[in-house]
Amino acid sequence: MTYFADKQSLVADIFSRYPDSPQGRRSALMPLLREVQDAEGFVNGTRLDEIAALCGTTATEVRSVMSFYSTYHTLPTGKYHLQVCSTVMCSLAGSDELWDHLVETLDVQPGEVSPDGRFSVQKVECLGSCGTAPMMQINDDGYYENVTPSKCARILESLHADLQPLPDNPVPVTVNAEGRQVLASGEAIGASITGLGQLPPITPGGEA
Amino acid sequence: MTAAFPATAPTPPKPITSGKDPRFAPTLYAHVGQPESWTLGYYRRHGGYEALERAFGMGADAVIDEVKQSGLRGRGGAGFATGLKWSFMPLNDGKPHYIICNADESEPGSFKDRYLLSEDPHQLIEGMLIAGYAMRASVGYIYIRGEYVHAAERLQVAIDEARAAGLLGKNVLNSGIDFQLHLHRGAGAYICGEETALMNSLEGLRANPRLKPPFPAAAGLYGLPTTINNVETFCAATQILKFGAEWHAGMGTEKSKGMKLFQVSGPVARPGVYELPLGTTFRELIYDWAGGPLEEMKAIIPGGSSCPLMRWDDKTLDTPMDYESIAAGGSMLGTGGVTVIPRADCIVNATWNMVRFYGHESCGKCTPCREGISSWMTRMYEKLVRGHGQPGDVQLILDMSENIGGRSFCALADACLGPVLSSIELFREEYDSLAQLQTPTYPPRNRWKDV
Amino acid sequence: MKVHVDGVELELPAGTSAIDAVFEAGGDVPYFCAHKYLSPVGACRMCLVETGSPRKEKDGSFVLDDATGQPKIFWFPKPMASCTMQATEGMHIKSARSSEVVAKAQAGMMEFTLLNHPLDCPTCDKGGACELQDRAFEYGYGASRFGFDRRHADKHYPLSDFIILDQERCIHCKRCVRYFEEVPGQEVLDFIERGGHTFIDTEEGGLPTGFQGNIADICPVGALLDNVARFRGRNWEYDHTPTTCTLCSVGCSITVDARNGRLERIVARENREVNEAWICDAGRFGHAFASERRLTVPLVRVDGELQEASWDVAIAAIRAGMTRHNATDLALYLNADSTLEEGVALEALADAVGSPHVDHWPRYEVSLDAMPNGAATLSDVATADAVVVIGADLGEEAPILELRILEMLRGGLLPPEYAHGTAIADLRLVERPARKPEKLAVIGKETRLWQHAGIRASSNGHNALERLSRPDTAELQAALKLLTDSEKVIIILGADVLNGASGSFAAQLSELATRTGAKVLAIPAGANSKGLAALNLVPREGGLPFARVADAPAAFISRLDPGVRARGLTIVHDSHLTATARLADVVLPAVTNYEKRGTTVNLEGRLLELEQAALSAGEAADLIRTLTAVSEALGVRAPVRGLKSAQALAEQKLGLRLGELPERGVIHAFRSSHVAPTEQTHVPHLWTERMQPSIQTLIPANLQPLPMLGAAPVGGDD
Repeated sequence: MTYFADKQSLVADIFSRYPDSPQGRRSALMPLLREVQDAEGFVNGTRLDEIAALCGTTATEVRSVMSFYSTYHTLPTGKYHLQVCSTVMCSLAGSDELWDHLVETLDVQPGEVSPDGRFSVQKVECLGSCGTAPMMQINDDGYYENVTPSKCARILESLHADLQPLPDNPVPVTVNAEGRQVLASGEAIGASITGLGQLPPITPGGEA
Repeated sequence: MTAAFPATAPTPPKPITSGKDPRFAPTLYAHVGQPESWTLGYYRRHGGYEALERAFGMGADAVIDEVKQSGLRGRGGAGFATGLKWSFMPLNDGKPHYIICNADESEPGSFKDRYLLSEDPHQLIEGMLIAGYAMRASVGYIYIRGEYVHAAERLQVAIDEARAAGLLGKNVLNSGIDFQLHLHRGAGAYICGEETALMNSLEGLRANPRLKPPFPAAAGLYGLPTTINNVETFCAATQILKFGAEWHAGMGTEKSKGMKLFQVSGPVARPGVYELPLGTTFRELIYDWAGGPLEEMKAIIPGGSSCPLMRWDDKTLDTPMDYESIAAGGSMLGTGGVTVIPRADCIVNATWNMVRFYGHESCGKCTPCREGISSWMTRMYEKLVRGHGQPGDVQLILDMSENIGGRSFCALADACLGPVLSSIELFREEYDSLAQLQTPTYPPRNRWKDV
Repeated sequence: MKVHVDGVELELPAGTSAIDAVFEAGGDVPYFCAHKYLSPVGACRMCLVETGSPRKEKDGSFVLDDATGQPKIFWFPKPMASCTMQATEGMHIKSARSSEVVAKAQAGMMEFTLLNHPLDCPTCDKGGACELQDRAFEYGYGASRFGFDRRHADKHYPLSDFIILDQERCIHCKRCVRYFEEVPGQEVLDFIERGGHTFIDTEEGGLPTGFQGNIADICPVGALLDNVARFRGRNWEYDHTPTTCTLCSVGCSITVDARNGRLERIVARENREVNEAWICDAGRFGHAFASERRLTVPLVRVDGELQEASWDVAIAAIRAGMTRHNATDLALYLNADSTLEEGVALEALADAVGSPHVDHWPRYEVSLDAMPNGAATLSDVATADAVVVIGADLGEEAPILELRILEMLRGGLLPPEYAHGTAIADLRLVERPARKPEKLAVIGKETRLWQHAGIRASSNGHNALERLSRPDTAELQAALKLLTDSEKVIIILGADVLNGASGSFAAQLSELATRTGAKVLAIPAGANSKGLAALNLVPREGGLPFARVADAPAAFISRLDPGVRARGLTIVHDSHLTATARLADVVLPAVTNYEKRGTTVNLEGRLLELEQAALSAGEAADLIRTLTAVSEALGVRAPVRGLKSAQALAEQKLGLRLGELPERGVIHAFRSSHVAPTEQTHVPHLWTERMQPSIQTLIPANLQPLPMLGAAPVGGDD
């Protein structure tokens, strides 16, 4: 059973983003890999062949590209794939300890899935959430930020009950509703974007 | 040949170099964090897509001139003049042109683009429309790192909204201009932040950097003229077209103009993103905005992990954050991702983490990076930190660095040497302690605790 | 363009790379990733040099050095990879010879390169001919400061039956990956993983047979090795013989490596005008027959059984056998891969005894030498604007011609040449080059080339040409339009149209060539068919063609295996006990073409020399010496008694001097061409069974067979 056989419109939509040329076809490789992984959790050899045929290349090339990037999986992951940021900012905030804790309490090593099929773990590099370290991502569902020991315990408890908490998206920005930035002291300071006013109209068509 | 229009705000008597200046207003992040800020309705209610109309009114060449006069420099890290970069695109060569937004934000310490993408995607779309118009490109791609799932979803919705509203596609706003915009998701590779590697990745290839020349403006994506800018750069272009080049040039220092998104991470009271004029001091950022350190500090990484460390002292804290001043202080402005490192943390251990990061992210194309960093440097650090150091190890790291620095294919290897060389220079005694006594000056401590 | 290398000024053509500038100046730069026929990528970083250039003021004058008054040289702050840098007017380049910085950079890079490279040179087949070994000796520190365990990976990883990969030895130069993408256009090998974990692998269930063996030649280390020659000898033990491959009519330059009288390995030798640096897998790996089950002494049938005999006994047996025949009854047949000199000798003997039954095989019945726009060369093909291939299966008929067509599709950029040889870095070549399939039309059956062609038309037999002249389908119309509209066009003809083609075919082709301005390249049936056609080696008045050997009263059959015997005395001259030899009355041992000196003529009409490799062949003899023996038996004086006299006769008959040809060969237009009906069809078939490496010779008996090796060929040496 091929994966894309009954998804012609999806495939067509992906191809429509790129030029109608051999090079353009090849560009669909990563989106197609992503499709399969999102649906199946990993990409197996049969899917490599299928994607290769769609992109006009070989399974060798697909495997080569796929293995280059760190978020594609060739093995099934757990129901909850915990990706812990291990780069320096998170590390300074305790992500090494968080990682050790996860590996120990879940009894799972990278590349493995816990016996109940629930958990797999992966150390990942900086996910761009340094202001809210330490953090982890669960599956492709979003970021869990400021994962302190007690928060970690709450998350794991929920996951054990198959009640995945909603991801966090705290916006670390101190611009208030009026558009002014607020100092650490609590004082709103400076101007706001509305105060910058409107510009007079420019004569249209002017080849300045 | 400039568009003759006055800036509404009167030309400031002296440039704005502090976020506390009463004339300074956050623009890039003005709406980030507001309810529904990512919707087209919100964006339009707050003056959205007016800059685009203004750009269409000026003409494409005038847009490039406007960006040139604004003094905008690339916000991705290198700080190349944006207007000049745009003017490298050939005119009327009959070929399709591409513009690409580099939303592969993966420099450790940087997290400004993620919120721009998820909270104010239309600002980016408008900036790309303006840039596409200026550079005669009718197709744009946003290369967003694969892990930014939430941002990608918001962005895709915004693109669909814009398309439905006639802002993308054929004949944008009845201007006669066509512009298509597509989202392309990466899959986890730091090297994709390098523009030619990013183009390879977009073409469905391994993200190895390409030879330059040819430069992307001559032969980029699919071999066609291409310009790549950072998310913040495109957003700044939107604001420049909205408020004028003179407004933008009125902020910052002589050579570093405009506002910048600074990010603060590490143990400070309020880590986060702060939009400040270039030329703001570290002291203002860290104390007045971020609320000051929570413990004793020893080092600052000024602009993402590839920038050399600076010592935490008055001299550094009083350094204005602009391209030139930080360079004079021995480091780089980079992405503006400021990280503070506590005194009680072992600097060698922290540097090991960064070296390991670059080793993990090396694409493997060239020898010094693949072997020097990925294989050797990482293990030298591991050896030191694990207490197996030997006299001579630090000298060996220095000599190895000399053989790596400036010899690699792209800048990734040099990026790794930023923290290596600076940490040895500033904190040699911590290295020597590990190399000679096998003992860290600052022993490991549990940093994972409830606040 | 003036460039200064290590203080020496030299004049160079524009476009020269910095690395070629250094070599042209007589200097040296180490390199691993650069390769003459591949795109420069700057990956290994060994070829670092310091470079600096003068700068111009706004008014166009040079910025001058205050001290010297000469243009000031602005040096790059860091060493640059010379393989990816173009030399420019006034540039100064410093190699390790004059720069401490460069010397240290290269030594440091060598240290990195060797970091994970195993120290197993003593058991590595590449040892003694290894670029890494040589360069480490010349440019390295001599010691490594890397105090850790090296990377461990699979050391015996078969990529196919022919190529075995040692993943530990790989230095990631990417030559093999680029080769497959750029040369045969196959995406079958690539890097997997990234950074320090990168290794090469295929996901295709093995590399495709065709052109895979070339990666063993270009691998700068012992990572990719010829599995057929694996552990057969050290490089310094081999006798290296530069010669020409005669498996097909391309005539690739090869080096035959023999040890203790056995042919162990064949590697490609550069010939810019023929095979560049590539050979096909048949030419490389299909040499098992040269050292396996060879006939080393004559055999004579006694009491119905073939028995070993001396040459004298064999000559006596022929003499005895011929008492029942007239000398004119003896048919003389030779293989069309025989040398020109051997052909001359046989023609002379035929003339001397007056036998009408003379033939060489394989051949066609038509001569296409007199086409209006001249004969096409392989370089013409590579640089053509369009190529139309009709009825050819290049994989079976002329594999390297296929590569030259693919070269045309990716731009046809022949590499520049310098005094130091072919450019090491041709900066016009790019990775993953864009191909132009619209420049290629293939008419005929589906072949490997088919997938590269923009225009494809199915066709069968020699009426393809007629159909092309009056196109009846859209594809054929497109092919004809391609021929008509393009400037430099080549028509390539293969067996499917040439079999049975006659004079009217030639006329039709000539008309089409005149109309379109096309040059014609007809692939000869045999390796030297083109040369032998210049001699009168076809049936004469009343003579029997080779197809009717069974009707011949008596026959001498050299290195052909029709599987039947003549009515009377049958003499077979062959290197192996073929089916025909088993039926013969006298079997004379022959040498293979690896053991001959002489001249062959390739499909372009290029004269190329064969040299004699040091193989054990017992009492085997080439055709010239064998015919001397036959002459003796027939009681006639052999008109040609050795190579020199054959060459003298050739000069007399053909007006060309043989024996002192330039290494690349020389194109010769033969004045005449002999044709006659063949009465059979030639089916090109490159890989014959006897060429398959047999399992027994590859593996010592006490070892289990490797899983990737195919079963041993059955049926012996036919």
